[in-house]
Amino acid sequence: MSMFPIATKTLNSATSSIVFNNIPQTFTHLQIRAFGRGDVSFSSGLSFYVQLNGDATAANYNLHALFGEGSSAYSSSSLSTGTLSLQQVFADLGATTGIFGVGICDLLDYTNTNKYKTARFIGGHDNNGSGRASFGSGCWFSTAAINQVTISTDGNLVAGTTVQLYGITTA
Amino acid sequence: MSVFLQPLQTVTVGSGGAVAAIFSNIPQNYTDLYVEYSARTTNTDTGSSIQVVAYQNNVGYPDSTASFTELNGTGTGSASINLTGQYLRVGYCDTANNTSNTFSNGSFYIPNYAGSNYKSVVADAVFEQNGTAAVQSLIAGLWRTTSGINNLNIQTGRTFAQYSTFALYGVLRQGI
Repeated sequence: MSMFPIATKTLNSATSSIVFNNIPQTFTHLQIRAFGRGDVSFSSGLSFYVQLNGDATAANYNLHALFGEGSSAYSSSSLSTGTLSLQQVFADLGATTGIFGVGICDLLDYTNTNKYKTARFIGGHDNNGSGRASFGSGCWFSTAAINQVTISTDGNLVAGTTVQLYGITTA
Repeated sequence: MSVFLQPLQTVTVGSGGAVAAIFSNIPQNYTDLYVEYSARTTNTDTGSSIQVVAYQNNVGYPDSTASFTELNGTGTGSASINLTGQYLRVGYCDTANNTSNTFSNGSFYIPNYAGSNYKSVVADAVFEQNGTAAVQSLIAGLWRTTSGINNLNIQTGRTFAQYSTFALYGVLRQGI
């Protein structure tokens, strides 16, 4: 078995962020799996933000993404974002009650101090006939090993949101 | 958990670089194969990125058994392409023209790799840089071979840079 659950957090009430501290440095890769919804309105859905080691320096992050919205595909990029993110993943306040979005973020070689950390995201949400499918990337321009991840969205994450952190080994 | 992810082989590129990451003598007793890679090349002649391709069972270029269909985003646009008879693309990675220390992040999955049906592949991969252009690619591929896959050769046609890593996993699916 090479995929190990490190931590899971499920919200009982609205919270601005979920933080995993003191991440073990003994795995090769990290994977974050999120089931989320936010408490603000944005018709195309809300972002899945992943900030590393508490670093909020805007210039240290960027994002690129590919989206499908039911009738067409389009692409976007943003520089100096202050966090990794994939947009349009989590369900927003206007989504039907009980609907959440799903996002997965892979961070390879998270302890390698010779590499900037490239994130690969996939996710989306469907609101019974409308929604978004998103696939994207981001880079944290730091060679530091990752020891903390902070998950958030636009506004607060609502009760029922669950985030799981896994460690993956290669031996 | 009904999916068992077993590490099989790892390639870590050393200071001299490597033209390929090769997984040989792949055991035939798993259900599926899964590969994750974090890679960069040393070349400067292909712009900021270069495609990553995979060959099976020691078949080199051109691979008449291979085809793929790709959906990608570039940061400013999106496109879909397909190609047959040459190679199976599994993503893109950074070159030496790109932001220092930046490596791609990709994976591909080969279900039923040991069976006698043609081999379907699905890949998702990204390359990053500190600029507007970067590629996110979703790829559906096919090897029209009925042989079990016992060898995978991952390459770009250039040289993988030091610290590039490739990990091969075996997946076991179980009934409920």
